[in-house]
Amino acid sequence: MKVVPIALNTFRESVRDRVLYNLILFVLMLVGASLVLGELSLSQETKIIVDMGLSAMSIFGVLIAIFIGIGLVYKEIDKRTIYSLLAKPIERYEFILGKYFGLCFTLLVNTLLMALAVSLALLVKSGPGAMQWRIMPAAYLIFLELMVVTALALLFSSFSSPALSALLSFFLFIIGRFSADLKLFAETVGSGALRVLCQTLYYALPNLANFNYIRETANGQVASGRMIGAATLCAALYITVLLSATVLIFQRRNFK
Amino acid sequence: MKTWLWTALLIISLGAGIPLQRWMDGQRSSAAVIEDSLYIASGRTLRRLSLGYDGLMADLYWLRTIQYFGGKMEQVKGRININDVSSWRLDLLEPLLTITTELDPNYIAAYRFGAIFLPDLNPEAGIRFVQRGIENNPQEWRLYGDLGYICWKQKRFQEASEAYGKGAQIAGAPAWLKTMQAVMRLKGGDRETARELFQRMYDESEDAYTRQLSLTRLKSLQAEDEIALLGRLLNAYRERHGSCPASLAALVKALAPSLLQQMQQGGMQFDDTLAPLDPDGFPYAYNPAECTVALNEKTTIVRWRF
Repeated sequence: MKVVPIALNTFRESVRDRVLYNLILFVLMLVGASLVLGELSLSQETKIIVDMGLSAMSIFGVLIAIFIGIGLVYKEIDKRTIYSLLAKPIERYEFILGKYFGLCFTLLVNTLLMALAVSLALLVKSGPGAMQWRIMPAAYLIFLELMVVTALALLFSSFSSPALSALLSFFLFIIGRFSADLKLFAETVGSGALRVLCQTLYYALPNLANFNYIRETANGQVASGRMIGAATLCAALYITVLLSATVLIFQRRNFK
Repeated sequence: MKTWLWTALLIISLGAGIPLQRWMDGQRSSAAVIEDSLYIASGRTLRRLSLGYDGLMADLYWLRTIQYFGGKMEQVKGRININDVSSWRLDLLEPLLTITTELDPNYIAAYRFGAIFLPDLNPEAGIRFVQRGIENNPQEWRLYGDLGYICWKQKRFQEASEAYGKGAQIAGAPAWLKTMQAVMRLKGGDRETARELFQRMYDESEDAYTRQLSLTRLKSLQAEDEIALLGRLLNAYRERHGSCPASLAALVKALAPSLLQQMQQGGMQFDDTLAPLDPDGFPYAYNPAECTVALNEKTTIVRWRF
């Protein structure tokens, strides 16, 4: 299986590119928020630390997933290293999967360290309590969302330029977050054709709202096991569709 | 050009910038008019614009609400009476709290803050706001308690009783809600009920601000009780001696030791000369000509009347 060495190499490349430096900014922001917001928030510092920590985890992660994801394939083509890679006994699908899982591993490390930093901030601010562990299911759901966004970015990067890939990935991220509105619009719109279009889009595009449990977590709720299971299955389906499409496109590309 | 010249130029320019900026700040602050404004007044619109980070956006609006309230507090001239904020021109308080709770319908702290201060501005708006909180959080018994409090403050005892009753039915609600349901129906308007309510708010509240406010009101009620007691003692003294005592200390010294002990056990404080002190440790003001007692001008106790 050549996927694992490619994935590890992609991870090493991300570390060399100082992707994980965002963690320093994240920790500084959390420390700042913990110190300042305690004075300003009228006893809501725990909620605000959770909201801010998990939202920053998601925002930083999405930025990494998109901006690194769009370069995964393009960089190899641009630097012409793809020729030496594909000249070896490596299948094209292995290359795509290796790149994908490599970035996912980077995001896993990033998300895990950020979740630990939020837990630590909560521990310092409020002492030992359930909230430090309650953020973990939400952090896992964020990681699932990042895996889907990475697959999206990889799909676009397999056939278009980095700028266009970034733009398209952002658009789909925004639409994914607005999925509930798309469904509502489909239910309320008068035109039949428009209703069918909205419903098609609702089911065809990744519904990223499925992975957003930040507000509820900050209010002390915990995502149920059933909900986490459904979200995991949902992410697996989205990722399978996106990666399959990416492999299909990439296999048809001519590098001559 | 030489290096030292560039260095000197840099330092001089930096140095000159400070007084210039101070002068400009001075000009601006004297002329600037700070307007209260909300660029986007709809929480639902903001929720869409937040791209799913609605919890974080709600926190930002919560912080803005607190800063707005604090800013208005700073603008108040003279002694701050937190028990009645109707004169503070808090025009944006309701929209800010509404946006916060539309962004995060489970933001209990925002509903509770609104329950305390919105009734001073517009009782109906306060009741509507808390009712919306109950709709979004039907299992939150504290909101029923807050609704009961607002209705009680408006002397709508029947509605207050109903609110406490509904809150009492929620699993995990404390037993005092049931008590308050009956108390409201029987004797909603007396001072004992007020004391009971504020004591509950003080004991049950998680945030320091509500606890502080409840404590302030408890102290106000205690001061009211002590002033009433001293008034009765002064009347009795005058009837017995035909004149008012020279001071409150003289009044207390003339009391039977058992009565003095009772007063001390009831929480009343005295200084070394036996002059009675209010709950914040300031001596009560006494007018020997009229034989009346009142709060000292310097006291930190805020009068609160139901």
